[in-house]
Amino acid sequence: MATVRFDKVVKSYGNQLVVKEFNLEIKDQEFIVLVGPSGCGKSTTLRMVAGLEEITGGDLYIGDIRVNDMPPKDRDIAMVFQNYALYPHMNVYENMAFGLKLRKYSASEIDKRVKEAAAILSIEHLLDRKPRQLSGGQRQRVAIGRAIVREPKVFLMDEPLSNLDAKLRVQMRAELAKLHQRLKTTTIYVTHDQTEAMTMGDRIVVMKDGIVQQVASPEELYNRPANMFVAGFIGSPSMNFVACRMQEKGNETYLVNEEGFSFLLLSPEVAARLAPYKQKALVFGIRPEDISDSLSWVAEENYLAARVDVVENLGAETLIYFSLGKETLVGRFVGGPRYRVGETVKIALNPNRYYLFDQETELSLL
Amino acid sequence: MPQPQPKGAPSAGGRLARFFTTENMMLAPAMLVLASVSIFPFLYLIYASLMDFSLAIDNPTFAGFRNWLRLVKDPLIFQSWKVTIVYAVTGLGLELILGVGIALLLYAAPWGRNLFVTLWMLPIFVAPVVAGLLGWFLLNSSYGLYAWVLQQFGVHTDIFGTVATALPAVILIDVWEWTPLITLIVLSGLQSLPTEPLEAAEVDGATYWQKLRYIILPLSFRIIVVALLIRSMDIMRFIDTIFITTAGGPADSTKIIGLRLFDVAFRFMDIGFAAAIGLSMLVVTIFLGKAFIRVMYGRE
Repeated sequence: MATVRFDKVVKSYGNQLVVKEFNLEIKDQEFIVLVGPSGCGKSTTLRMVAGLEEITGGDLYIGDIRVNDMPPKDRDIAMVFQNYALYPHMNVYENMAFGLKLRKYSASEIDKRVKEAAAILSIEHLLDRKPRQLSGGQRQRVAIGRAIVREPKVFLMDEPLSNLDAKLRVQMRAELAKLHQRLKTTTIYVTHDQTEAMTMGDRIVVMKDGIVQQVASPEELYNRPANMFVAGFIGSPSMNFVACRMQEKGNETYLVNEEGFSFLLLSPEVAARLAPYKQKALVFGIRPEDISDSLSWVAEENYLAARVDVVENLGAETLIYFSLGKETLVGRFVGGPRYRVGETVKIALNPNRYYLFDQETELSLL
Repeated sequence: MPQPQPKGAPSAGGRLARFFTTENMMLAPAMLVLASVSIFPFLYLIYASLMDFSLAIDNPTFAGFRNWLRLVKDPLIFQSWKVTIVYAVTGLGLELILGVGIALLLYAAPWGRNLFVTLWMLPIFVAPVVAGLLGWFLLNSSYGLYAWVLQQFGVHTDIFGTVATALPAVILIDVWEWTPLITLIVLSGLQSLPTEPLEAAEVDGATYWQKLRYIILPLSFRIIVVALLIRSMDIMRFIDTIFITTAGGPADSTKIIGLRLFDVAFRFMDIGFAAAIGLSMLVVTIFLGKAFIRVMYGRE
């Protein structure tokens, strides 16, 4: 078990910068998730930790040792690949034993560890099979088993659940979380799926175009996104954004636009903090779960009259797409559908749970 | 006189009509070509092997299994098979080691792979006759470049004229010409290997040699067998190079079975015996092929 420290780590291919100055300190036993859209540099970052990609600049430490120039085999890490990367010509037992065999463990120790890992992952009955005789989920268990028998300092997981079907993914997600609670090995987990990130990570690193957008706990990412990208990336369906400006009516400050959008800022502190942005273009953000037709949130004159465009019934909840002039807002409602398409309904936006961004810098203003 | 047929029962005419379907008619030319170039000569070969069939006398007469008996009794045939085995095993062995080795080097090379492969491939594009001529010129004891180099080191031999050196020389010419083919086949196999298991092995702690032994070679085992299979079929029947350089001599020391067949057929005009030799080579080739296939799929 160990810490992992990135100190201004840079990766470029020729002139193309793939990862820009990556700084991060991962604590011992922490489960950290790198998340972002494809091509954001998250996998490259992980592969630099594994030693499969050369580090162009900066320093990378595992424990207290600088590992920039250390080959993968000496780093004492184990990796789980998206395509499982099992050795096709070896059976499950040999696949799991391979790393131990190379490290010259005794046969009895290897046997003990493989059997233990197989028991944890409930794949004892598959030990004699070849990878091609296994289902996707079973292969992924073997890949994880191969990693845990090694008892490495750090686990690296590169989108390990992406190739599984939806149901299996949810199940394996829970199992991986349980496994981490049990083994407590420092883990770096790469995914493009924000749900995986939110449910598994102690901390989440959101990346885009090789740049770290925010490093925070799931709660903080959800509640206090640093910028529009993070705000839009975390949460499903994603946050609604509405371009707007400030407008003062008497003592009250409103956010408005030409499409009929209007939102009253209740907190005088926020209004005061926004003073320098009076003339600037702003972006108002609200999550689908903070749109409601319950009339208790705001005074009646602050309702928005919106037209129902699309109703998506998900069973336990319903997503309703409203249009407000040219703006589209998605709301999430508990229970079955309650409106018909084409209806105009009054909706309220939660006055205490909204986000504001500078349209130019896309940074959060709250 | 046509007889009334019960409805639905296949009549002779119906059967014939079914034979002359569009599909069969379209297949017919191909079948004819195949029959004329392959099936008929093969059957004729079997016929010839049972005949006392010399181009010197007018009519072949039935010989029973005399030609086949000569196959096992004739010490020259035995000698030729011995040379063939040495030639094939040594040649294939060297080609395998060199070919796979160079393929592995190229696979690991960070750059220059395409250029090197192109240059390395050149001998394959040369007709075997030309390869033989090249070998002849380079190793000729009076004006050959390599012979001259050897002479500078005090080695004065007629390379193609000495029993001890003739066979190694023709083997080396074959190695020169055909190692690139093994390289090409194996390299294409290596390049199609999945990269992830190799990376997994690296992370698992494998050195290059361990990766080679436990991952790369087992995963490319089949393609290597395929390359060997192709070469082993060829090495017995390609006589051009030896024909040009030593013509089987000196003292039959390079007379592989294919060349012996050529001699028997076209120098001694003994077509019946040659047919028997040819068929015996076919049988050996088939068994060899079967053996390779078994090795290839035996790993299942």
